[in-house]
Amino acid sequence: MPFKDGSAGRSVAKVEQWSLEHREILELLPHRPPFLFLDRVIQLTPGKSGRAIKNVTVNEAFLGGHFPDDPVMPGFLTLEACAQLGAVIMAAANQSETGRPRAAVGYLAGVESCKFLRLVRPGDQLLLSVDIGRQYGQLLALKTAAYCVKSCVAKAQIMVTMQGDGTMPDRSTPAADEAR
Amino acid sequence: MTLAMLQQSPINEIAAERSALVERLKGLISESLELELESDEMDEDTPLFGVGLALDSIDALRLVMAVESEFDVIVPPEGWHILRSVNTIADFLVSVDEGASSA
Repeated sequence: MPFKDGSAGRSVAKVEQWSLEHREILELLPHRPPFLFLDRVIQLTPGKSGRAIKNVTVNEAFLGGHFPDDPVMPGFLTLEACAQLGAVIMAAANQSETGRPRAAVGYLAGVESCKFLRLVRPGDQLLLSVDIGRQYGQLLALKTAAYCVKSCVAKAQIMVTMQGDGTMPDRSTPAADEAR
Repeated sequence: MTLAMLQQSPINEIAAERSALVERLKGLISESLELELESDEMDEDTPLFGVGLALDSIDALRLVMAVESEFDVIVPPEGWHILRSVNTIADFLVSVDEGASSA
């Protein structure tokens, strides 16, 4: 696993399959609670594909309002979780000069062939699956799906924007940090 | 040259092939981009982006994926000129086909 020893110069390019704990996810994503929907990445091939877990608990901030007497995870947040996994996959392939990956965010540009097949409630464990698809110009297609106990709860093709050089917009620069 | 001779000439065959390819592309574009167009609204030379059909960059990605899966080709990353019109896409597919058969 990358960064466990805290070394900044460790090359990650040769590592084909990773798993990531919470702290490592924070290094690759600008998202933070209560809008971080990945608990653990269990399989990751940088730039290609990934699988991750999102445990849904009754403490989720959004369940207070959706709905007060009938807690259901909003379907679009399941898609958001998949999109965040897509950002992790791309960030892991996008190393900075120091050899460490850059945090990445892609902005949603489109959602297609989307289906919500089952309600997601507290106690459910979502297994998120994302495969990176075709890239053209500044757009990237992601094939995403979420499963709970082996049955599909949601699936979609998501399109996100990237910068002209094919990388996600970099949010880890000092200027970006100051602007926040 | 009689009409029968003309219809059997290689040039006529090429024209018929081209015409079939263009119609197949028009169908693919309408279907994959869910465009509700009459068949005469999309001319072979109608610009797909900007003026003309005014497709956007998301349509471009969908179109590239549709063409690649339908014709088993790879559209090069710098290939915006290929997507200019139905005719330019047809030219690209013919050039790929010729490249493959001469290789």
